[in-house]
Amino acid sequence: MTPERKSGFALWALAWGATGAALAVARLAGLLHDAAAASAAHLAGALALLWLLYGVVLACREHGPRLKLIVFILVAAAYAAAPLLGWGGLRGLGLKLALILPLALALEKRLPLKEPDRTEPVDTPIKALKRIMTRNRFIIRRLAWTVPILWVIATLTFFFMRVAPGGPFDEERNPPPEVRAAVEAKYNLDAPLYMQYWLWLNDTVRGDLGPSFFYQGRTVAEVLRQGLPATLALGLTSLGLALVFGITSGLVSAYRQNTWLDYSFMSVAVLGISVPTFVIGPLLMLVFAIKLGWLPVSGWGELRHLVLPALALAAPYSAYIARLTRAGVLDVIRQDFITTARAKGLPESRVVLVHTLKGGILPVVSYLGPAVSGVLTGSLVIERIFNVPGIGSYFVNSALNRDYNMVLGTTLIYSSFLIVMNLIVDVAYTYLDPRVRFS
Amino acid sequence: MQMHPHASKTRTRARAALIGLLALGLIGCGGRDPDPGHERGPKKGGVLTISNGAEPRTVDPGKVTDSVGFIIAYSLFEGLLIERPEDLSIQPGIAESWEVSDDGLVYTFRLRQSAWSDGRPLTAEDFLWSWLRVLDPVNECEYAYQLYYIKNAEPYYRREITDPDLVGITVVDPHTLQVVLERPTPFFPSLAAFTTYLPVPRHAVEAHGDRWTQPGNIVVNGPFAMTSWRINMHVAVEPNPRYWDRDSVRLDKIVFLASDDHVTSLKKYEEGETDWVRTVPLAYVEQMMDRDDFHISPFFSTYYYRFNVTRPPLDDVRVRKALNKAVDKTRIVRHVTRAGERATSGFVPPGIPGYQGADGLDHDPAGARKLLAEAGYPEGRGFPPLELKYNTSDAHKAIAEAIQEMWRNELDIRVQLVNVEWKTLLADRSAMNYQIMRSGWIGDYMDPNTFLDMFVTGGGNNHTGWTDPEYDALIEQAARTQDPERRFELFRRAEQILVEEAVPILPLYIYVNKNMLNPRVGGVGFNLKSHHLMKYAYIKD
Repeated sequence: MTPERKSGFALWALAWGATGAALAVARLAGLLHDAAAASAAHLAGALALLWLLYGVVLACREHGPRLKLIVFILVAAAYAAAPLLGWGGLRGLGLKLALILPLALALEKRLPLKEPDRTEPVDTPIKALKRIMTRNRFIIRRLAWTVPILWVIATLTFFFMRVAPGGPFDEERNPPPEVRAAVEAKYNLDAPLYMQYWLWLNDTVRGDLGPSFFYQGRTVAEVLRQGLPATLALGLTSLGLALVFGITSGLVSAYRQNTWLDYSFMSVAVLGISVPTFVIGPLLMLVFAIKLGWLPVSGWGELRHLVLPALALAAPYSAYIARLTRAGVLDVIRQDFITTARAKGLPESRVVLVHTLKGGILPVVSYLGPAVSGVLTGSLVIERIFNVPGIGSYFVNSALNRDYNMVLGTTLIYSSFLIVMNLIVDVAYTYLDPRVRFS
Repeated sequence: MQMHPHASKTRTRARAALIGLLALGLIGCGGRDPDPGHERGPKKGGVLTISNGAEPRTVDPGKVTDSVGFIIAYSLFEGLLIERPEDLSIQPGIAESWEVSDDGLVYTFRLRQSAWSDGRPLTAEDFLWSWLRVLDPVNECEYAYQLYYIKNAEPYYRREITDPDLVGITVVDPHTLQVVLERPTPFFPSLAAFTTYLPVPRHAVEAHGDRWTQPGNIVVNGPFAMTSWRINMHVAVEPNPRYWDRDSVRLDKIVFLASDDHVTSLKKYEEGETDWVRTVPLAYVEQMMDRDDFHISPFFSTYYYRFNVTRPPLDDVRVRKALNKAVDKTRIVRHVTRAGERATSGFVPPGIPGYQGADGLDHDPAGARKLLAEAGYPEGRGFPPLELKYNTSDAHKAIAEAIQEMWRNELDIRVQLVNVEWKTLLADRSAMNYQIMRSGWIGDYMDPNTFLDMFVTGGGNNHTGWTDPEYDALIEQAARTQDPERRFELFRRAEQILVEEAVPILPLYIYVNKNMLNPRVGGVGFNLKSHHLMKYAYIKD
């Protein structure tokens, strides 16, 4: 295999592994029950495991036989742990992953991180693999941190929720003491707190997010599963719109710097950043739904319901992205390599869209992390105004209703999403700017 | 740096074309309603879209507790009796007739032939099972206490007795149900129409447990059957072909929309996307006031402040009376709430036929100052600072600020306003961790008892620490009295103690319901209980 083919294969394997891990997480959250999806998750997870092992083997290849023996024993123990504990299927796989990942990290620490040598042509398979290993080590380390971070977040949330005054079953009309006692027994709320925590932890790891206290007769997983598609659709559309509008107007402003076009775009941008979404939303509703009647006031189910909420949510982000793009592009277009590209006879569109943009959107890429979190939390205001049946409202209402299981479920979802998004952003950054190193 | 002029023109044109295309694409179709026009007769069919308010927590009639859920539960299920929305009169439901024994203790209901929506016959056995289900605390039915009027229901609920046969519900035959009460209860027919008394399908509940109300599992006996329920979107119902009175049902479909945002709901109504909005935000009331489709109706509920009478200075009745007398309630309803609420100094809202409540204390600032001086705080000197707690809401804040100002002007005392979140307020209330607290109460049935028995010593909804043996005795005696006039006399005396003599509370006003209803909708009446039966609703031609 040529080096390029090998690196391609490695990337493919990693992508498979990441998908498998994502499917596994989704399965754990009760979002997937399809047997086929579960098998796919299993297969992908196994591939991820194989890739990790390969990395482990490579890493200890340069060390002495004693280390190799230790590594072998540890890997064998990891494989033996699952059947010994009686854990099968995805849980067993997860256990293996959890045991081998730290091993991979520990070994990575012992191996000095060499800078990939770009001035020489890549002519050995090992060199190519090492370059990929550097990036992948970084990804693996970040992924390995995900589980402990989520665990800390969930634990803190669990205990803080209980500290707040009032409980899920306090109502205007006090339920009779018999009802309170029966209900608390049913949901284990009368057990000591550490016991409740242990029960909750066990259930969550098994994928059971528990019943909702507020929506009687429904489970948290069911409620979130019904609401997540709407929030994701709204969030992704808004981000997409924000990127399209923002980058376009930023690019135009930079190339038409100090003209009326530049000034008007940037003024609109300032407005977009300053005016809050709960003002922009109703304003859009007033103009397009009420005065002009082009679009429905609120609701969900058809494409036309998506337009106003997505625009309202995208507004501040597109404004910010426009300003960032403009600054980034202005930085780049004065550089020599742009003049060189033009002198080489490249068409202007290629100069702009490929070379300038690639450097110019660097600030945008690093902004994307906070942008995603903003879009997800801003969506709860927009969802409320436009009656979008997403999970945004649960984030606030479940806390106000003291619906403990729902709070934890939404917190876990948001946190996982943010962690993964931030990782993707960091990795994308390194693809765009070869000067950036992993650390 | 100069760009190629030709390239820039092309790009500008392309961009303009793109924007033009986008704009074209945004033109969807917006629906507009034709003008309401003249009077029309009822017609078969039509879809009624209602902005119902928040997402219903449940539609299980034994567990439903809020107006959002009531309207849906009453569409899906029907009990022995029904209350007609126009006048709250009692009509036959599943029971085609009923008899009361002379001592008022035994009710015999004769059920008509009817069936569940899956074809299974509905019998008296279903009612027995449903009521016993409510009386099992593990089922979390908050309104189980509505069944306490039935003999031995309360001891059975509290697990003091365990034999269900001892509870006063008997199935004489599949179409005859006999109910024995603890004591004569003149408003029992009204109770029998309440959601807690509605039947639930045993076979569905046992098969699906808590999930029996999901579409696909749910089995109903009422005018409508559930076709879909999407969380935070809507509950949709269509006529139930097996309903015994199928021919009276005129609508093709009802959609109950869920929304937390009242302003959006109002805008949807104005654009013709919904036919009925069940609440109007305070800020819009004034501009809607003169419209024909805006309906204000008094609601059987009272807005009041509670005093914690266990802590000084509120343990002195003169202080409480002074606080009462210093508040000008008419000004509050006229200038603060402004939706036509009715100021009150009594506690039981008007509307119970034959009941004349107590008047309460008048607005009398001079008298208030005198009382405060008698209590040892002439001109407010030495009066310790008070705390007034209310839960988050613009309306509560506005009212509290007005009253704070009145107390400062008339009595020269300082009161601090504390805004707490709802659950925290409830927790403070249970722990008696407050001095003055904003409160509200909705009556469950048309009888003074539902308001007055709250404040008996140790009552579960008392939360004031107030206790008065004379008051307790009056309530107890009224419960045992059969003669309606004598009962009302006893209640009147009790209310007098509550709002004129001991005043552990500060009544402010009677709530109103604000609805906007498209004139093309008929058969929807706005009554004191905000009770709606969709079986009577229709769309005019």
